[in-house]
Formats: sequence, structure tokens, C-alpha cells
Amino acid sequence: MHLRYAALRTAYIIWVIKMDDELVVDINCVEHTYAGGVKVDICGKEFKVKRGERLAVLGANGSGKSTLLKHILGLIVPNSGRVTVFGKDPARQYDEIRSRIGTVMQNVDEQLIGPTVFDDIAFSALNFGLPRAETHRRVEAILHALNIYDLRNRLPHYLSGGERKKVALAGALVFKPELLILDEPMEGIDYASRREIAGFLGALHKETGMTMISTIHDMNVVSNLADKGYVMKHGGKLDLYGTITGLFFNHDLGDYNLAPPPVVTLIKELRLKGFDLHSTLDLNNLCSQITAILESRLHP
Amino acid sequence: MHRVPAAIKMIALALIILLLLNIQTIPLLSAMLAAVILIAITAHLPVKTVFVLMLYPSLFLVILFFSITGITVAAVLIIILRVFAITGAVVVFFLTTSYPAIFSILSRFLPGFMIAALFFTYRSIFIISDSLNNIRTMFHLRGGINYRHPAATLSRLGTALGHFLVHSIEMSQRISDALKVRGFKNRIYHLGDKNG
Repeated sequence: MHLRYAALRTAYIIWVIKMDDELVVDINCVEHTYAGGVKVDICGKEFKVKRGERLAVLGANGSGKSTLLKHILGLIVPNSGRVTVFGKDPARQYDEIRSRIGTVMQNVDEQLIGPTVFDDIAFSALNFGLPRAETHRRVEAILHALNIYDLRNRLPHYLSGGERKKVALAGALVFKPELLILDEPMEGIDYASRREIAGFLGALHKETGMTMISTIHDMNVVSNLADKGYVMKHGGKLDLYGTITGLFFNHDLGDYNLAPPPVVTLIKELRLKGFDLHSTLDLNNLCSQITAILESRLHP
Repeated sequence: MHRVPAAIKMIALALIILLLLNIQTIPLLSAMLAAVILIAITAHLPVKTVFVLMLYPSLFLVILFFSITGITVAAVLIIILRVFAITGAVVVFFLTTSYPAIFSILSRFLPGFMIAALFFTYRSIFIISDSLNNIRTMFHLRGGINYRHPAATLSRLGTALGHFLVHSIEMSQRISDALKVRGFKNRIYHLGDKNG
């Protein structure tokens, strides 16, 4: 009995380790040419995303971030190279992985399809074959979780930018995807909505371990959405890879037309003035470090 | 008017249209048009908007009158009154009924793909009108219209129209992408109003 239990436990641990290490997305030097002749060649660092990771693709406007997401979503066919999502080729086998991927597109107005907010959130879940009663239950739950229950009967067209983003996010999450794709999730929304959405996504990742890939050009919100990131050069070259803190502190992102958050600039300036500060993106942490240094200098 | 159930309004609209198509006298048609306008006013609808929307078919009326000959003044009046009364009734119906409600009723007897097509047409009108307004505003702000140089203005208008066309094509591609990733299967669902 003990042996059987131990064998089962070992099998479970192996399965968990395997799941943890499972590659969700694997992109190897893909090239795509748009109708206008613009060529985007996504190469450089290998683009690999493991299960449970929160990853950001950073780059200036027009660098090729959205093209990378289109490859993952199977919306464009590469001229050359290889894209694998959950072990499948998304451009050819998207139907097999569609229900495992939730997407919030850059222009959410074009993504909102349902006649009402409730219908829109239920849209994908019903398309993926979830029973109506279960869909109702899940839509109600996500409406409450994102604090948009009062919007349930509203027409999507008349919502504000922040409200539309939340509805699109709810629609992407209602069928509990394993991978969440966010194309510029914080673009065009106010500060309060940004904080709310970032807080919600952070909590969701902690609770479910959902794999998340975001494209971001506003560096102030990156640390809320990702732990690791790639920096993309104009034309699609994946030039840098590392933790978000490492990318900001160990590289000059100005070369990539990206401005680091003010907290990074402040720490770098203070280091030049002789302050021994640890790298952090958390303003409260920086304040504590400065307070501790000043106190030690005042009361040695 | 806003509180009357959509189904009843739809039946009433169908009856009014049938009635208007059968009335052949100018006084009766005038009375019907007046009644439609009175309903719009009592329903607190923006009268200016109602009138602007009622004017749209006038373009087709002009084409019609240019293309037929030997028509009497009475016949012209009858056609004009009939068209405006029907358009007015339809406009009042749409402005007092939410489109999910209209959609819900149509879903009961039309096939799914037709509902989806109707719905996308309706939804696109909003998105395209926003886009058109933006282009129009930019055209004005950037001095696109110069009454002293009509030829240049026309040429710029052509460019703006081309820009709008390209923008619309790109937008339809993005909507198609969104439908693909959201698993669209030729059906739009309306689950009814959620209360409580």
C-alpha cells in the first residue's frame, strides 16, 4: 500500500515538473512579408515561453510586436521559420488550440462583437461549446471580479475606453484559457483603470498560474504585467532577454527608443551621487532604501 | 413609447407600413405623417435627429423623379408623403427600441447566419461612422476644403475617400481576425437582458 502510494506520488511530482517545464510558445526565426512589402523578421534570441510565465515583449511602435502575437495566434503564415503553440502550428492547426488561448487585441472596439456586454463576454465560451448555464455562471462571476457587473446590459459601443478593455479582458478569460495574450493592454485607458486591470491580472496570475504574454511600449506598466521580457529592435529582431528589472538596470533601452520608468532613472542618478541602492522597480522599496541610507548617515 | 415591448412595436410598425402602402389620398397620408411626427415629439426623441434620418431616402426620390416621365404632381406628393411617413415610423421604432431587443425578436424566425450578417452591418455602421467623423474632422482641421480652389478640394476629397477606404479594409481585416480568435461559428448570441 505504501509502495503504491509512493509510486503515485512520484508520478504526480514528475507530471507537475513536466507541466511546469512545458513550453507553451516556441518561435524560431520567423519571417513574414505584409501586402505592402514590409518585411518583419522575428529572429535573434529564441522566443520560448514556459507554462506559468508572465512575459512582456517590449519595443517601440512599429518594431514588430503585434506581428509576433499574430504568429502566435495563427493569423499570419510565416514565409520561413517555425512557430509552435502548445506543440501545434497555430497557422495550420489553430482550431485545435483556439479554446486554450484568450486574447485581448490592441483595438478592443473591433473585438467586441456581442449585442450587449453580457452577450459579448459569453461569446467565445458559447462558441467553444460551454453549456449555457455554465456560461451564465462564469460570465456573472467575471463581471463581479472585474467590477463591471453594472455594465452587463449596456451596448459595447457606448462604453468608455477602460470599460471596453475590461469587457474584452472578461471575454478572453471567461473560458479559462491556459495562455492569455494581451496586445498593448494598457493603451488608451486612464490611470484608475490601469491600476485596476494590473491588480486584477496580478492576482489572477498568483491564483491560477496562467501563462501571460503582453506587448507593451509604455515602460511604466511593464513590471505590473510581467516578470521577464524580450526587447525587440525595429524590424523584429529580439535583441535582449531577461528579468524586467535586469533589462532596465543592465541595458540602455534608449538604444531601442524606449524610456525606462522614472524610478530606474532616479536610482541610476542616485548611484552616480554615491548612494548604494539595490535595483528595484518598486517606489516604496526605493523610499525605504533611501530612508535607511539617510538615517545611517545622520545617526552613524 | 420606449416602454412598449419590442415585439408589439414591431407588429405595429409592420401594420403601419402596410397601411401606408395602401393609402392613396394626400390628406390621409399627410395625417399619417403628422401622426408619426407627433409620436416622435411625445416620445421625447431629438426632433432634429429624426428629421435628418428621415431625409436619407430623399436622395433616392430625386433619382426616381429624374428617371420617370409623365408623372402628375399628385402622384409625386403621394410618393413623397408615403416615403417620409414610412421612414419616420421606422426611425421612431429604431430610436425607441434597443437593438439587442430587435435582434432578439429577429433571432426567433431568421436563420443564424442572416442574423449575424444583419448584426455585423449594424455594428459596422457605428464603427465606420466614428471613423468617417474622425477623417472629416481632420480634413477640416488641416484645411482640406478651400472654396476658392474647388478642383484642389475635390482632389483632396478623393484622397480622403481613398484613405477611408483603405482604413475600412484594414479594419474589416482586424474584425475578421478578432472573430477568428474568438471562435466565431456563424452565430451571434443574445442571451436576453440580465436583471438582479
